[in-house]
Amino acid sequence: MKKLLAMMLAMFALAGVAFAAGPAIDLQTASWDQIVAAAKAEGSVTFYAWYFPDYFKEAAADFEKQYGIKANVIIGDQTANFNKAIAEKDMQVGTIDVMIVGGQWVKTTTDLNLFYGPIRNILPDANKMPATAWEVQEGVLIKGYLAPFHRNQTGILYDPDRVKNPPQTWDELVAWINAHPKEFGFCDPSKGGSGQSFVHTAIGALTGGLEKYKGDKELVPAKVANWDIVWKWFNDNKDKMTITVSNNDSIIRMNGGEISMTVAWDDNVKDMISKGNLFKRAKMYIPKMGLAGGGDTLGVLKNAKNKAAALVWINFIQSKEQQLKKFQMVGAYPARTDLPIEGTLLSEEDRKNNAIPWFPAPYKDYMIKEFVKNVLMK
Amino acid sequence: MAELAIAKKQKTPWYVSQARRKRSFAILLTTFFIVMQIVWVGLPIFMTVLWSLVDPNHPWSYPNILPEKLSWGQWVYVFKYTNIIRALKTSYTIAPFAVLLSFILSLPTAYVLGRKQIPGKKFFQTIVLLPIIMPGMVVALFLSRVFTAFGLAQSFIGLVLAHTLMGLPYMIRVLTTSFEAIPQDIIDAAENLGANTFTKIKDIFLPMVRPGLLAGMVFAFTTSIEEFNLTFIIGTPTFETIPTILYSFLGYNFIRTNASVVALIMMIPNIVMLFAVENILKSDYLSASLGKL
Amino acid sequence: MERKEISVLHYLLLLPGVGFIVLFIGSSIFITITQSFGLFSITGKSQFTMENWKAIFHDKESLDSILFSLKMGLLSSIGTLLFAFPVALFLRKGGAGKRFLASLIKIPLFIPALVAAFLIINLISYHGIVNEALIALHIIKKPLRMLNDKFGWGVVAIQVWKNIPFVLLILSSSLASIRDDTVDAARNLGAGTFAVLFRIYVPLAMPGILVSMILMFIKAFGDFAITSVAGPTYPPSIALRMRNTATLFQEWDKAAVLGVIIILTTLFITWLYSRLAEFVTGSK
Repeated sequence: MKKLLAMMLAMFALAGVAFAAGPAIDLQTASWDQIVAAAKAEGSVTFYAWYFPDYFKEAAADFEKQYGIKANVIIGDQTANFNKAIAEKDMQVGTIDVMIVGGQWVKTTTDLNLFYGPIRNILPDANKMPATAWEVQEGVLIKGYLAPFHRNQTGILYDPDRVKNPPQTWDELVAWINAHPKEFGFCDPSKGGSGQSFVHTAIGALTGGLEKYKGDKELVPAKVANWDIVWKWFNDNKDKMTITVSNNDSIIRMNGGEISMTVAWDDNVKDMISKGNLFKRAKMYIPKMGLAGGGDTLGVLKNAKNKAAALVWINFIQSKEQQLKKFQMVGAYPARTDLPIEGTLLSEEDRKNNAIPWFPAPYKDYMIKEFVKNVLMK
Repeated sequence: MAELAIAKKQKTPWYVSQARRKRSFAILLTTFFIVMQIVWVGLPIFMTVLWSLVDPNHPWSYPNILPEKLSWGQWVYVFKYTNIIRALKTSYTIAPFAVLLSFILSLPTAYVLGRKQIPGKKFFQTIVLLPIIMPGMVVALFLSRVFTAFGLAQSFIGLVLAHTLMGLPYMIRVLTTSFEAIPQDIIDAAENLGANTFTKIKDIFLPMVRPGLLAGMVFAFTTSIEEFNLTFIIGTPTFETIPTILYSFLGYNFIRTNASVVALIMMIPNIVMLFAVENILKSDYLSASLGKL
Repeated sequence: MERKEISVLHYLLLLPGVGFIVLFIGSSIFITITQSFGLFSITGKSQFTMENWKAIFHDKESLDSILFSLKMGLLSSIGTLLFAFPVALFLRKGGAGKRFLASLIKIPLFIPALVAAFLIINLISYHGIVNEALIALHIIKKPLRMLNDKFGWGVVAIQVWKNIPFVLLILSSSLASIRDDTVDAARNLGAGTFAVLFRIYVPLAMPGILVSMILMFIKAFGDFAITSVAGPTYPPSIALRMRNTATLFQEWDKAAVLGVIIILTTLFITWLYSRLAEFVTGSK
């Protein structure tokens, strides 16, 4: 009888433990070790990206080796990923745990409240990333809900064989464009961030700087009243430039000899070169007139099944080893500020001096819409 | 009349030499078309093959007409870092089921729409087109909720049903046309001879709609293999199909070398199958003429 | 055809195909229509309104997209027909090498639209093989800029390239049902080539022509893969516009209006093509 009782007690205890693993711990207050333990109990994490299949596959293997948690990496397509996340928004439990967030979708997904957070206070290495990267992305206030994992930067990409004096100021660029019609290309801003960056800088150069928009939470109509100067400039000079259909298209056309200067993302360029899609002599720099940068982030879905594992995954990607490995494999500039980096396309000096932040998202949105309306439609 | 009037005075009868001329003209034309087709279709494919073989360390840029160095690097990359093998298996397993289901579902519908007069026939014929009229991504968003509500998300059956749904419009409309074309007198003759429904289906309907049926099955098959939008939302992460991998290199993040590899991996089995099936069927579905009956 | 029969059996036979489709798509279409009028709104506040419709009709961008896609749909369906019909006629009779030719022609059918777009883009890029060949043959001095042309010829070219086998397959199965004795009888009565073509082949193959034109129009009208790659920078295809309005800008009600417009346009063109077919077969 005693033995039976003991056994029953043991069974109940075990059952208690098993069931205790069910209800999630409060991630906001738990210690990091507790979160790791919970993650291991969850057993797997599903992660959605749309680039770097090589890096993420290896990262998944490393992750599993280190934590014993299986990482399911799905490389999809930017739009498809977000459509899926949005489609699953109202489900109790979705199928995505953590995903990359970037571009115009930062605004869309933040407005829709898709992510769990804030997570900045949970992740141990959070203070190793630049503070601004936790607060603002693509001009959107993300308030620590999205975790930066790499920084990228737009710069002028050019073919040194055909461009002898790379322009540094707006006037120099305009002079170059006039002297070399159609050889400067940029991406349609409604289709890629590199084009947005160019128009953003153009607005700064033609309407007296970008400082005045800083901190605005909403669009102030008075401040955009003189943007018609910008649209006029674009319309007058449209025929001297080549408008491409995507970030990568700009690089591809340079590779094909159609254009010799464009605005591009540094990580894109590095990726294309390493895969034999762009000639190696290509050079990049950030001109003194400034070009915007940013980065992509990782977000944990509100209805994710494996939130603890998602957080452990994010921390893993943000770790020193992984950030270095990512840079070495695919040329993505780390989000961490405490890593010595060599061999980037854009010099550290350029980044420090010439990189500029985006103006707030409402202006960015407006810029894209107005560009389409006033420049593309004519 | 004009042709008959041009009767040449020569030793071999005019009709023989005319037939000979016609046949050699036909052969000439065929050869011309084949050469043209090889260029028309072959050139783009050849370029893709070249792009897939670009050595990662030797970029192919202007002004090179051909890549500097060829290597299997891009292929190794795709096989190493994507789940292409698993995707291939998934895609080619779903497709036959989708085709089969399309066939079963569309046969009775096409029969009624093709041979019977019922009120609202035009209406039904149009309804059938609904899955393909609206843009794929938006339909996918709506349908994903429906499928999830039915518990069909993340399941093989769900994917088969989804692919069938997208292929049905083609299958039904094409089969309808085939049914329409069956001459009524043959059916009447069969009925007069006492054929029951089963015999009618087996010996008259099925053989006579074979051209359209095969066309419809080809469309259902290709639609299934290419289906991306709905499959991505309700299929991943459990199931990855070829389009998932294809779009990761062909979509927003376009990398031509890797995209070429995936495109070829997708195209080559299909093309091989195409030639094999055509040989097996001896292509008489293309030139089956009722005149031979 | 048979005399009008209203039989329950017939409706039952319709059930598998039509029922399946209605089951899954029916609610989506219904919701799209209602959302365009502001009801069942995703954002929560639902009330009947014509605001969305008014907004779209005043929105030049949407109108431009609709016209552009319409243009693409019509040109693609007519273009593929013009290419595919003669080939279908030619292949109707068997012959040496024709089977091989038929297989060759079918290859683009198995190439997804997006891939086809990139294949052709490769060829017509600024220093692509077409330009280089034209320069080598001294037909042009500087390369032509054929990518992303403003009219949309690039898109039409790719649609035609990819879809000739699609239309061909449907036409062939239609032509296969034309009896040889009909053609022979006509020739015996003195019909020349053109008469046979326009009074025998075209009318008798009309169901196939009609179906292929309708399906081809739907494909090209609702396309966005090919347009996003090879289309002009402005305007976007209606499908792309609808998708962006819905998912990127989260303006679902406006997107619903675009959806209804797409459905209505398709129905209208389908009706138009049917009328045209009846005209051709009726009066001849």
